[in-house]
Amino acid sequence: MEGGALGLSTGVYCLASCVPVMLPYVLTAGETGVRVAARGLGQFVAGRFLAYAVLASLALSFGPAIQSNPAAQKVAAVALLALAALMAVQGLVRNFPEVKVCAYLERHGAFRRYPLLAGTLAGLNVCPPLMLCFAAMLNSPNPGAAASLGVSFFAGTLVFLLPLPVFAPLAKRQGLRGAAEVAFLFCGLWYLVNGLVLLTR
Amino acid sequence: MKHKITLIRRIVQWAAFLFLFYGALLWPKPVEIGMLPAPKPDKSQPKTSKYADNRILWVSSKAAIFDFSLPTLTCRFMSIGPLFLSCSLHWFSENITWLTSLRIVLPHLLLFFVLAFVLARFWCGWVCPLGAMQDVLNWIRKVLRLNPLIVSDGWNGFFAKTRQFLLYMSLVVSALIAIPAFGFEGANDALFLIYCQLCPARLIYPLFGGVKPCYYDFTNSITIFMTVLGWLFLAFFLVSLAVPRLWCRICAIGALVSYFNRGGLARLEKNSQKCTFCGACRRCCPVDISLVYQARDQRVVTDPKCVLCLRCVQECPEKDCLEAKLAGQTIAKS
Repeated sequence: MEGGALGLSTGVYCLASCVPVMLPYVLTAGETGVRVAARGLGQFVAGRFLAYAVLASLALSFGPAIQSNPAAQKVAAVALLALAALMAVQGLVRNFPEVKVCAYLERHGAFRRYPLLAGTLAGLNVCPPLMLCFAAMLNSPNPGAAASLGVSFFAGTLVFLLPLPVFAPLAKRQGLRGAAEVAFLFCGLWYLVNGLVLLTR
Repeated sequence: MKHKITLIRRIVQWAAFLFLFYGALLWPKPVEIGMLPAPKPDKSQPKTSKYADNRILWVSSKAAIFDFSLPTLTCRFMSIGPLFLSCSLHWFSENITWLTSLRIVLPHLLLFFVLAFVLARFWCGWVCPLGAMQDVLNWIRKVLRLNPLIVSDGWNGFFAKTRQFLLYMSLVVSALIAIPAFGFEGANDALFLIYCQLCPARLIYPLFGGVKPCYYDFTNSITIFMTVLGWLFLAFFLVSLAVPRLWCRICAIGALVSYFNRGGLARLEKNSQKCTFCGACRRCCPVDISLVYQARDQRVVTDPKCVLCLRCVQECPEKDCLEAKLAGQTIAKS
Protein backbone atom coordinates (compact mmCIF):
# COMPACT_ATOMS: atom_id res chain seq x y z
CA MET A 1 0.00 0.00 0.00
CA GLU A 2 2.78 2.41 1.04
CA GLY A 3 4.82 1.58 -2.07
CA GLY A 4 1.82 1.98 -4.38
CA ALA A 5 0.98 5.37 -2.89
CA LEU A 6 4.62 6.43 -3.23
CA GLY A 7 4.66 5.30 -6.86
CA LEU A 8 1.44 7.11 -7.65
CA SER A 9 2.56 10.33 -5.99
CA THR A 10 5.94 10.45 -7.72
CA GLY A 11 4.93 8.83 -11.01
CA VAL A 12 4.90 12.13 -12.90
CA TYR A 13 8.68 12.03 -12.62
CA CYS A 14 8.70 8.62 -14.34
CA LEU A 15 6.34 10.01 -16.95
CA ALA A 16 8.77 12.83 -17.75
CA SER A 17 11.81 10.56 -17.92
CA CYS A 18 10.25 7.58 -19.75
CA VAL A 19 7.78 9.18 -22.16
CA PRO A 20 10.54 10.72 -24.35
CA VAL A 21 11.87 7.16 -24.79
CA MET A 22 8.60 5.38 -25.44
CA LEU A 23 6.26 7.86 -27.12
CA PRO A 24 8.33 8.10 -30.34
CA TYR A 25 8.39 4.29 -30.40
CA VAL A 26 4.64 4.01 -29.89
CA LEU A 27 3.95 6.60 -32.58
CA THR A 28 6.20 4.91 -35.12
CA ALA A 29 5.62 1.23 -34.32
CA GLY A 30 1.96 1.76 -33.65
CA GLU A 31 1.05 1.95 -37.33
CA THR A 32 0.32 -1.76 -37.19
CA GLY A 33 -2.01 -1.33 -34.25
CA VAL A 34 -2.35 -0.80 -30.55
CA ARG A 35 -1.29 -4.40 -29.86
CA VAL A 36 2.24 -3.91 -31.22
CA ALA A 37 2.62 -0.72 -29.18
CA ALA A 38 1.32 -2.50 -26.08
CA ARG A 39 3.79 -5.35 -26.62
CA GLY A 40 6.59 -2.78 -26.92
CA LEU A 41 5.46 -1.11 -23.72
CA GLY A 42 5.44 -4.52 -22.03
CA GLN A 43 9.08 -5.05 -23.06
CA PHE A 44 9.98 -1.55 -21.90
CA VAL A 45 8.35 -2.16 -18.51
CA ALA A 46 10.14 -5.51 -18.21
CA GLY A 47 13.49 -3.80 -18.92
CA ARG A 48 12.75 -1.12 -16.39
CA PHE A 49 11.76 -3.70 -13.79
CA LEU A 50 15.02 -5.57 -14.41
CA ALA A 51 17.05 -2.39 -13.88
CA TYR A 52 15.09 -1.46 -10.75
CA ALA A 53 15.61 -4.96 -9.35
CA VAL A 54 19.37 -4.64 -9.86
CA LEU A 55 19.42 -1.18 -8.25
CA ALA A 56 17.21 -2.33 -5.36
CA SER A 57 19.50 -5.25 -4.59
CA LEU A 58 22.51 -2.88 -4.68
CA ALA A 59 20.73 -0.40 -2.41
CA LEU A 60 19.74 -3.16 0.04
CA SER A 61 23.32 -4.46 0.06
CA PHE A 62 25.24 -1.17 0.24
CA GLY A 63 22.70 1.21 1.74
CA PRO A 64 20.43 3.87 0.20
CA ALA A 65 23.30 6.27 -0.43
CA ILE A 66 24.08 4.73 -3.83
CA GLN A 67 22.76 7.84 -5.54
CA SER A 68 25.62 9.89 -4.13
CA ASN A 69 28.15 7.15 -4.76
CA PRO A 70 30.45 8.36 -7.59
CA ALA A 71 30.66 4.90 -9.15
CA ALA A 72 26.85 4.62 -9.25
CA GLN A 73 26.67 8.07 -10.84
CA LYS A 74 29.14 7.00 -13.51
CA VAL A 75 27.05 3.89 -14.22
CA ALA A 76 23.91 6.02 -14.51
CA ALA A 77 25.74 8.47 -16.81
CA VAL A 78 27.00 5.66 -19.05
CA ALA A 79 23.48 4.18 -19.14
CA LEU A 80 22.13 7.56 -20.28
CA LEU A 81 24.82 7.86 -22.95
CA ALA A 82 24.03 4.33 -24.16
CA LEU A 83 20.33 5.24 -24.23
CA ALA A 84 21.19 8.37 -26.24
CA ALA A 85 23.18 6.25 -28.72
CA LEU A 86 20.34 3.72 -28.96
CA MET A 87 17.80 6.45 -29.67
CA ALA A 88 20.10 8.19 -32.15
CA VAL A 89 20.61 4.98 -34.12
CA GLN A 90 16.88 4.24 -33.99
CA GLY A 91 16.20 7.78 -35.27
CA LEU A 92 18.76 7.50 -38.06
CA VAL A 93 17.42 4.13 -39.21
CA ARG A 94 13.88 5.46 -39.33
CA ASN A 95 14.72 8.80 -40.96
CA PHE A 96 17.29 7.66 -43.48
CA PRO A 97 16.27 4.12 -44.51
CA GLU A 98 17.94 4.64 -47.90
CA VAL A 99 21.42 4.88 -46.33
CA LYS A 100 23.16 1.49 -46.66
CA VAL A 101 24.07 1.04 -42.99
CA CYS A 102 20.56 2.02 -41.89
CA ALA A 103 19.00 -0.33 -44.43
CA TYR A 104 21.27 -3.14 -43.20
CA LEU A 105 20.33 -2.54 -39.57
CA GLU A 106 16.63 -2.40 -40.39
CA ARG A 107 16.78 -5.56 -42.50
CA HIS A 108 18.46 -7.50 -39.73
CA GLY A 109 16.00 -6.32 -37.10
CA ALA A 110 18.78 -5.09 -34.87
CA PHE A 111 16.31 -2.90 -33.02
CA ARG A 112 13.53 -5.38 -32.47
CA ARG A 113 14.50 -5.32 -28.81
CA TYR A 114 14.64 -1.52 -28.60
CA PRO A 115 11.93 -1.24 -25.89
CA LEU A 116 13.60 -3.84 -23.65
CA LEU A 117 17.04 -2.25 -24.01
CA ALA A 118 15.70 1.28 -23.64
CA GLY A 119 13.68 0.29 -20.57
CA THR A 120 16.74 -1.23 -18.92
CA LEU A 121 18.96 1.76 -19.69
CA ALA A 122 16.31 4.30 -18.63
CA GLY A 123 15.70 2.33 -15.43
CA LEU A 124 19.36 2.38 -14.41
CA ASN A 125 19.03 6.05 -13.56
CA VAL A 126 18.60 6.47 -9.81
CA CYS A 127 15.95 9.17 -9.63
CA PRO A 128 14.71 10.83 -6.39
CA PRO A 129 11.43 8.79 -6.24
CA LEU A 130 13.46 5.60 -6.50
CA MET A 131 15.67 6.76 -3.62
CA LEU A 132 12.56 7.34 -1.51
CA CYS A 133 11.42 3.83 -2.34
CA PHE A 134 14.81 2.33 -1.42
CA ALA A 135 14.80 4.21 1.89
CA ALA A 136 11.33 2.83 2.65
CA MET A 137 12.45 -0.67 1.63
CA LEU A 138 15.39 -0.50 4.05
CA ASN A 139 13.00 0.33 6.86
CA SER A 140 10.84 -2.70 6.09
CA PRO A 141 10.76 -5.39 8.80
CA ASN A 142 11.77 -8.27 6.50
CA PRO A 143 12.98 -8.91 2.90
CA GLY A 144 9.52 -10.11 1.85
CA ALA A 145 7.90 -6.85 2.95
CA ALA A 146 10.70 -4.87 1.24
CA ALA A 147 10.17 -6.75 -2.02
CA SER A 148 6.42 -6.26 -1.86
CA LEU A 149 6.94 -2.54 -1.23
CA GLY A 150 9.29 -2.31 -4.23
CA VAL A 151 6.87 -4.14 -6.51
CA SER A 152 3.90 -2.03 -5.42
CA PHE A 153 5.99 1.15 -5.95
CA PHE A 154 6.79 -0.06 -9.45
CA ALA A 155 3.11 -0.83 -10.11
CA GLY A 156 2.18 2.66 -8.87
CA THR A 157 4.54 4.34 -11.32
CA LEU A 158 3.24 2.14 -14.14
CA VAL A 159 -0.19 3.78 -13.99
CA PHE A 160 1.32 6.79 -15.75
CA LEU A 161 2.85 4.76 -18.58
CA LEU A 162 -0.02 2.36 -19.29
CA PRO A 163 -2.09 4.80 -21.41
CA LEU A 164 0.78 5.22 -23.92
CA PRO A 165 -0.41 2.56 -26.45
CA VAL A 166 -3.69 4.46 -26.74
CA PHE A 167 -1.75 7.03 -28.79
CA ALA A 168 -0.67 4.37 -31.32
CA PRO A 169 -3.53 5.00 -33.80
CA LEU A 170 -2.25 8.57 -34.16
CA ALA A 171 0.63 7.02 -36.12
CA LYS A 172 -1.74 6.74 -39.08
CA ARG A 173 -1.33 10.50 -39.49
CA GLN A 174 1.78 10.83 -41.60
CA GLY A 175 2.78 14.21 -40.18
CA LEU A 176 2.66 12.92 -36.63
CA ARG A 177 4.54 9.73 -37.49
CA GLY A 178 7.26 11.75 -39.20
CA ALA A 179 7.51 14.04 -36.18
CA ALA A 180 7.89 10.98 -33.94
CA GLU A 181 10.70 9.66 -36.15
CA VAL A 182 12.55 12.94 -35.68
CA ALA A 183 11.74 12.91 -31.96
CA PHE A 184 14.07 9.92 -31.54
CA LEU A 185 17.01 12.16 -32.49
CA PHE A 186 16.02 15.11 -30.32
CA CYS A 187 15.24 12.91 -27.32
CA GLY A 188 18.54 11.12 -27.90
CA LEU A 189 20.29 14.48 -27.75
CA TRP A 190 18.43 15.24 -24.51
CA TYR A 191 19.74 12.03 -22.90
CA LEU A 192 23.22 12.72 -24.30
CA VAL A 193 23.32 16.13 -22.60
CA ASN A 194 21.96 14.61 -19.39
CA GLY A 195 24.54 11.81 -19.48
CA LEU A 196 27.40 14.24 -20.09
CA VAL A 197 26.20 16.54 -17.28
CA LEU A 198 26.07 13.58 -14.91
CA LEU A 199 29.46 12.32 -16.06
CA THR A 200 31.20 15.64 -15.55
CA ARG A 201 29.45 16.57 -12.29
CA MET B 1 11.80 43.22 -67.13
CA LYS B 2 12.77 39.63 -66.41
CA HIS B 3 13.36 39.93 -62.66
CA LYS B 4 10.40 42.16 -61.90
CA ILE B 5 8.84 39.82 -59.33
CA THR B 6 12.11 39.39 -57.43
CA LEU B 7 12.71 43.14 -57.47
CA ILE B 8 9.27 43.85 -56.01
CA ARG B 9 9.76 41.10 -53.46
CA ARG B 10 13.09 42.53 -52.37
CA ILE B 11 11.53 45.98 -51.92
CA VAL B 12 8.66 44.51 -49.88
CA GLN B 13 11.06 42.33 -47.85
CA TRP B 14 13.36 45.19 -46.89
CA ALA B 15 10.51 47.62 -46.24
CA ALA B 16 9.03 44.96 -43.94
CA PHE B 17 12.43 44.41 -42.36
CA LEU B 18 12.90 48.10 -41.55
CA PHE B 19 9.30 48.51 -40.43
CA LEU B 20 9.36 45.48 -38.13
CA PHE B 21 12.76 46.29 -36.63
CA TYR B 22 12.61 50.06 -36.36
CA GLY B 23 8.93 50.93 -36.90
CA ALA B 24 8.42 51.23 -33.15
CA LEU B 25 10.35 54.50 -33.30
CA LEU B 26 7.38 56.01 -35.17
CA TRP B 27 5.04 55.64 -32.19
CA PRO B 28 5.73 57.35 -28.88
CA LYS B 29 3.69 54.83 -26.86
CA PRO B 30 1.77 51.52 -27.32
CA VAL B 31 -1.40 51.74 -29.39
CA GLU B 32 -4.53 50.38 -27.69
CA ILE B 33 -6.69 48.20 -29.91
CA GLY B 34 -9.99 47.64 -28.12
CA MET B 35 -10.99 44.65 -30.25
CA LEU B 36 -7.89 42.72 -29.16
CA PRO B 37 -7.70 42.39 -25.38
CA ALA B 38 -4.20 41.81 -24.08
CA PRO B 39 -3.69 38.55 -22.21
CA LYS B 40 -1.65 38.89 -19.05
CA PRO B 41 -0.70 36.14 -16.61
CA ASP B 42 -2.32 36.38 -13.19
CA LYS B 43 -0.84 35.22 -9.90
CA SER B 44 -2.29 31.71 -10.10
CA GLN B 45 -0.65 30.94 -13.44
CA PRO B 46 2.81 29.49 -14.09
CA LYS B 47 5.49 32.15 -13.96
CA THR B 48 8.88 32.41 -15.48
CA SER B 49 12.09 33.99 -14.32
CA LYS B 50 13.35 33.88 -17.86
CA TYR B 51 12.43 37.46 -18.66
CA ALA B 52 14.69 38.66 -15.87
CA ASP B 53 17.79 40.65 -16.81
CA ASN B 54 20.39 38.58 -18.63
CA ARG B 55 18.26 35.43 -18.57
CA ILE B 56 17.73 33.53 -21.77
CA LEU B 57 14.42 35.15 -22.78
CA TRP B 58 15.40 38.69 -21.81
CA VAL B 59 15.96 41.40 -24.36
CA SER B 60 13.81 44.41 -23.83
CA SER B 61 11.42 45.45 -21.13
CA LYS B 62 9.56 47.71 -23.53
CA ALA B 63 5.92 46.97 -24.32
CA ALA B 64 4.95 46.19 -27.92
CA ILE B 65 3.41 49.07 -29.85
CA PHE B 66 0.68 46.80 -31.24
CA ASP B 67 -0.29 44.17 -28.73
CA PHE B 68 -0.88 41.30 -31.17
CA SER B 69 1.17 38.73 -33.04
CA LEU B 70 1.79 38.14 -36.74
CA PRO B 71 2.10 34.78 -38.53
CA THR B 72 5.73 35.53 -39.40
CA LEU B 73 8.97 35.83 -37.48
CA THR B 74 8.39 39.22 -35.96
CA CYS B 75 9.70 38.80 -32.49
CA ARG B 76 9.55 39.90 -28.87
CA PHE B 77 13.34 39.87 -28.96
CA MET B 78 13.55 42.80 -31.35
CA SER B 79 15.29 45.20 -29.04
CA ILE B 80 13.97 48.47 -30.45
CA GLY B 81 10.27 48.35 -29.79
CA PRO B 82 9.07 45.70 -30.46
CA LEU B 83 6.47 46.88 -32.96
CA PHE B 84 4.33 43.74 -32.75
CA LEU B 85 4.07 41.51 -29.72
CA SER B 86 5.58 38.35 -31.19
CA CYS B 87 5.22 35.66 -33.82
CA SER B 88 2.03 33.59 -33.68
CA LEU B 89 3.76 30.50 -32.30
CA HIS B 90 5.21 32.49 -29.42
CA TRP B 91 1.74 33.84 -28.72
CA PHE B 92 0.07 30.42 -28.85
CA SER B 93 2.75 28.83 -26.64
CA GLU B 94 2.59 31.59 -24.06
CA ASN B 95 -1.19 31.60 -23.79
CA ILE B 96 -1.47 27.83 -23.71
CA THR B 97 0.90 27.85 -20.72
CA TRP B 98 -0.95 30.70 -19.06
CA LEU B 99 -4.30 28.98 -19.72
CA THR B 100 -5.63 32.33 -20.93
CA SER B 101 -9.39 32.49 -21.11
CA LEU B 102 -11.05 31.83 -24.45
CA ARG B 103 -12.70 35.27 -24.33
CA ILE B 104 -9.27 36.87 -24.64
CA VAL B 105 -7.78 34.24 -26.96
CA LEU B 106 -10.56 34.14 -29.56
CA PRO B 107 -10.09 37.60 -31.16
CA HIS B 108 -6.34 36.93 -31.51
CA LEU B 109 -7.02 33.47 -32.90
CA LEU B 110 -9.45 34.95 -35.39
CA LEU B 111 -6.89 37.55 -36.45
CA PHE B 112 -4.29 34.80 -36.93
CA PHE B 113 -6.69 32.76 -39.09
CA VAL B 114 -7.58 35.78 -41.22
CA LEU B 115 -3.93 36.83 -41.74
CA ALA B 116 -2.78 33.28 -42.49
CA PHE B 117 -5.82 32.46 -44.64
CA VAL B 118 -5.34 35.53 -46.81
CA LEU B 119 -1.57 35.51 -47.30
CA ALA B 120 -0.53 31.96 -46.31
CA ARG B 121 3.23 31.61 -46.74
CA PHE B 122 3.57 34.94 -48.51
CA TRP B 123 4.42 35.85 -44.90
CA CYS B 124 7.52 33.67 -45.21
CA GLY B 125 8.64 34.63 -48.69
CA TRP B 126 7.85 38.34 -48.62
CA VAL B 127 7.73 39.56 -45.00
CA CYS B 128 9.81 37.36 -42.66
CA PRO B 129 13.03 39.18 -41.64
CA LEU B 130 14.81 35.89 -41.03
CA GLY B 131 13.90 34.90 -44.60
CA ALA B 132 15.35 38.19 -45.85
CA MET B 133 18.57 37.49 -43.92
CA GLN B 134 18.80 34.06 -45.54
CA ASP B 135 18.38 35.68 -48.94
CA VAL B 136 21.30 37.98 -48.06
CA LEU B 137 23.41 34.95 -47.13
CA ASN B 138 22.47 33.39 -50.45
CA TRP B 139 23.44 36.61 -52.25
CA ILE B 140 26.82 36.57 -50.46
CA ARG B 141 27.35 33.00 -51.66
CA LYS B 142 26.68 34.12 -55.24
CA VAL B 143 29.06 37.08 -54.88
CA LEU B 144 31.73 34.70 -53.62
CA ARG B 145 30.95 32.48 -56.61
CA LEU B 146 30.41 29.43 -54.46
CA ASN B 147 28.20 26.63 -55.67
CA PRO B 148 25.19 25.85 -53.48
CA LEU B 149 25.09 22.56 -51.63
CA ILE B 150 22.60 20.16 -53.15
CA VAL B 151 20.10 18.89 -50.61
CA SER B 152 18.84 15.39 -51.40
CA ASP B 153 15.16 14.46 -51.27
CA GLY B 154 15.92 12.35 -48.21
CA TRP B 155 17.26 15.35 -46.31
CA ASN B 156 14.40 17.56 -47.47
CA GLY B 157 11.96 14.93 -46.19
CA PHE B 158 13.82 14.90 -42.90
CA PHE B 159 13.62 18.69 -42.66
CA ALA B 160 9.87 18.59 -43.34
CA LYS B 161 9.43 16.08 -40.51
CA THR B 162 11.64 18.18 -38.23
CA ARG B 163 9.49 21.28 -38.63
CA GLN B 164 6.38 19.25 -37.83
CA PHE B 165 8.15 17.90 -34.76
CA LEU B 166 9.18 21.37 -33.62
CA LEU B 167 5.64 22.68 -34.05
CA TYR B 168 3.98 19.81 -32.16
CA MET B 169 6.69 19.78 -29.51
CA SER B 170 6.40 23.49 -28.78
CA LEU B 171 2.59 23.31 -28.42
CA VAL B 172 2.58 20.08 -26.38
CA VAL B 173 5.35 21.23 -24.03
CA SER B 174 3.59 24.58 -23.56
CA ALA B 175 0.48 22.66 -22.48
CA LEU B 176 2.39 20.24 -20.25
CA ILE B 177 4.17 22.93 -18.27
CA ALA B 178 0.80 24.49 -17.46
CA ILE B 179 0.14 21.42 -15.29
CA PRO B 180 1.37 22.27 -11.78
CA ALA B 181 2.52 18.67 -11.14
CA PHE B 182 4.97 19.02 -14.04
CA GLY B 183 6.81 21.80 -12.26
CA PHE B 184 9.41 19.64 -10.51
CA GLU B 185 12.96 20.95 -10.57
CA GLY B 186 11.74 24.15 -12.17
CA ALA B 187 10.90 22.37 -15.43
CA ASN B 188 8.01 24.72 -16.17
CA ASP B 189 10.43 27.62 -15.92
CA ALA B 190 13.18 25.98 -17.93
CA LEU B 191 10.79 24.87 -20.69
CA PHE B 192 8.82 28.11 -20.93
CA LEU B 193 8.51 29.27 -24.56
CA ILE B 194 10.56 26.29 -25.64
CA TYR B 195 10.58 27.18 -29.34
CA CYS B 196 11.75 30.74 -28.65
CA GLN B 197 14.65 29.35 -26.69
CA LEU B 198 15.75 27.40 -29.76
CA CYS B 199 14.87 29.88 -32.51
CA PRO B 200 17.85 31.67 -34.09
CA ALA B 201 15.77 34.88 -34.24
CA ARG B 202 16.16 35.19 -30.46
CA LEU B 203 19.93 35.26 -30.87
CA ILE B 204 20.10 37.37 -34.02
CA TYR B 205 17.33 39.99 -33.79
CA PRO B 206 18.57 41.81 -30.65
CA LEU B 207 21.84 42.58 -32.45
CA PHE B 208 19.95 44.91 -34.79
CA GLY B 209 19.16 47.12 -31.81
CA GLY B 210 22.69 46.96 -30.47
CA VAL B 211 21.72 44.57 -27.67
CA LYS B 212 23.74 41.47 -26.85
CA PRO B 213 21.36 38.57 -26.26
CA CYS B 214 21.84 35.93 -23.58
CA TYR B 215 23.68 33.19 -25.45
CA TYR B 216 23.73 30.55 -22.75
CA ASP B 217 22.15 29.37 -19.54
CA PHE B 218 23.88 26.52 -17.75
CA THR B 219 21.63 26.50 -14.65
CA ASN B 220 20.42 22.91 -15.00
CA SER B 221 20.38 20.05 -17.49
CA ILE B 222 17.25 21.36 -19.25
CA THR B 223 18.74 24.83 -19.80
CA ILE B 224 22.03 23.27 -20.93
CA PHE B 225 20.08 21.18 -23.44
CA MET B 226 18.23 24.28 -24.65
CA THR B 227 21.46 26.23 -24.96
CA VAL B 228 23.15 23.46 -26.98
CA LEU B 229 20.13 23.05 -29.23
CA GLY B 230 19.91 26.83 -29.68
CA TRP B 231 23.54 26.92 -30.81
CA LEU B 232 22.96 23.99 -33.18
CA PHE B 233 19.98 25.77 -34.71
CA LEU B 234 21.95 29.00 -35.06
CA ALA B 235 24.69 27.05 -36.87
CA PHE B 236 22.00 25.43 -39.03
CA PHE B 237 20.65 28.89 -39.88
CA LEU B 238 24.12 30.06 -40.89
CA VAL B 239 24.42 27.12 -43.29
CA SER B 240 21.92 29.12 -45.37
CA LEU B 241 25.10 30.57 -46.80
CA ALA B 242 25.51 27.27 -48.65
CA VAL B 243 21.89 26.15 -48.98
CA PRO B 244 19.21 28.71 -49.88
CA ARG B 245 16.47 29.22 -47.28
CA LEU B 246 17.69 26.33 -45.14
CA TRP B 247 16.07 27.55 -41.93
CA CYS B 248 12.67 27.93 -43.68
CA ARG B 249 12.71 24.17 -44.23
CA ILE B 250 12.53 23.44 -40.50
CA CYS B 251 10.82 26.61 -39.26
CA ALA B 252 7.88 25.74 -36.99
CA ILE B 253 6.11 29.05 -37.70
CA GLY B 254 6.36 28.17 -41.38
CA ALA B 255 4.86 24.77 -40.49
CA LEU B 256 1.99 26.51 -38.69
CA VAL B 257 1.25 28.81 -41.64
CA SER B 258 1.81 26.06 -44.21
CA TYR B 259 -1.61 24.58 -43.38
CA PHE B 260 -3.02 27.64 -45.17
CA ASN B 261 -0.98 27.07 -48.34
CA ARG B 262 -3.72 24.63 -49.26
CA GLY B 263 -7.20 25.98 -48.73
CA GLY B 264 -6.13 29.59 -48.22
CA LEU B 265 -6.63 32.48 -50.62
CA ALA B 266 -3.09 32.37 -51.99
CA ARG B 267 -2.39 29.73 -54.59
CA LEU B 268 -0.09 28.77 -57.39
CA GLU B 269 -1.72 27.36 -60.52
CA LYS B 270 -0.21 25.48 -63.41
CA ASN B 271 -1.56 24.97 -66.91
CA SER B 272 -0.05 21.60 -67.78
CA GLN B 273 -1.05 21.99 -71.44
CA LYS B 274 1.46 24.81 -71.79
CA CYS B 275 4.24 23.23 -69.74
CA THR B 276 7.22 21.88 -71.68
CA PHE B 277 8.76 20.35 -68.53
CA CYS B 278 11.97 22.28 -69.04
CA GLY B 279 12.65 22.13 -65.28
CA ALA B 280 13.29 25.88 -64.84
CA CYS B 281 10.81 26.02 -61.95
CA ARG B 282 12.55 23.19 -60.16
CA ARG B 283 16.03 24.64 -60.60
CA CYS B 284 15.17 28.10 -59.34
CA CYS B 285 13.14 27.01 -56.30
CA PRO B 286 14.94 28.09 -53.12
CA VAL B 287 13.34 25.30 -51.07
CA ASP B 288 13.74 22.50 -53.67
CA ILE B 289 10.07 21.87 -54.38
CA SER B 290 9.47 19.53 -57.28
CA LEU B 291 5.64 19.50 -57.24
CA VAL B 292 5.36 22.45 -59.65
CA TYR B 293 7.60 20.67 -62.15
CA GLN B 294 6.13 17.19 -61.70
CA ALA B 295 2.40 18.05 -61.76
CA ARG B 296 0.74 16.69 -64.89
CA ASP B 297 -3.00 17.06 -64.44
CA GLN B 298 -3.02 19.04 -61.24
CA ARG B 299 -4.07 22.67 -61.59
CA VAL B 300 -3.28 23.92 -58.04
CA VAL B 301 0.40 23.29 -57.30
CA THR B 302 0.85 25.10 -53.97
CA ASP B 303 3.08 22.87 -51.89
CA PRO B 304 2.92 23.28 -48.07
CA LYS B 305 6.70 23.80 -48.14
CA CYS B 306 6.43 26.63 -50.72
CA VAL B 307 7.33 30.09 -49.35
CA LEU B 308 5.49 31.72 -52.28
CA CYS B 309 8.50 33.71 -53.44
CA LEU B 310 7.11 33.29 -57.00
CA ARG B 311 10.53 32.73 -58.52
CA CYS B 312 9.10 29.78 -60.46
CA VAL B 313 6.50 32.10 -62.00
CA GLN B 314 9.24 34.56 -62.88
CA GLU B 315 11.59 31.97 -64.38
CA CYS B 316 9.00 29.94 -66.30
CA PRO B 317 9.66 30.54 -70.02
CA GLU B 318 6.20 29.43 -71.13
CA LYS B 319 3.58 32.18 -71.38
CA ASP B 320 0.62 31.74 -69.01
CA CYS B 321 1.86 28.37 -67.81
CA LEU B 322 2.24 29.37 -64.15
CA GLU B 323 -0.01 31.81 -62.33
CA ALA B 324 -0.01 33.13 -58.76
CA LYS B 325 -3.47 34.02 -57.52
CA LEU B 326 -4.75 35.81 -54.46
CA ALA B 327 -8.46 35.49 -53.74
CA GLY B 328 -8.98 34.28 -57.30
CA GLN B 329 -7.25 37.29 -58.84
CA THR B 330 -4.07 36.76 -60.83
CA ILE B 331 -1.23 38.72 -59.24
CA ALA B 332 1.61 37.31 -61.35
CA LYS B 333 1.96 34.99 -64.30
CA SER B 334 4.69 33.61 -66.47
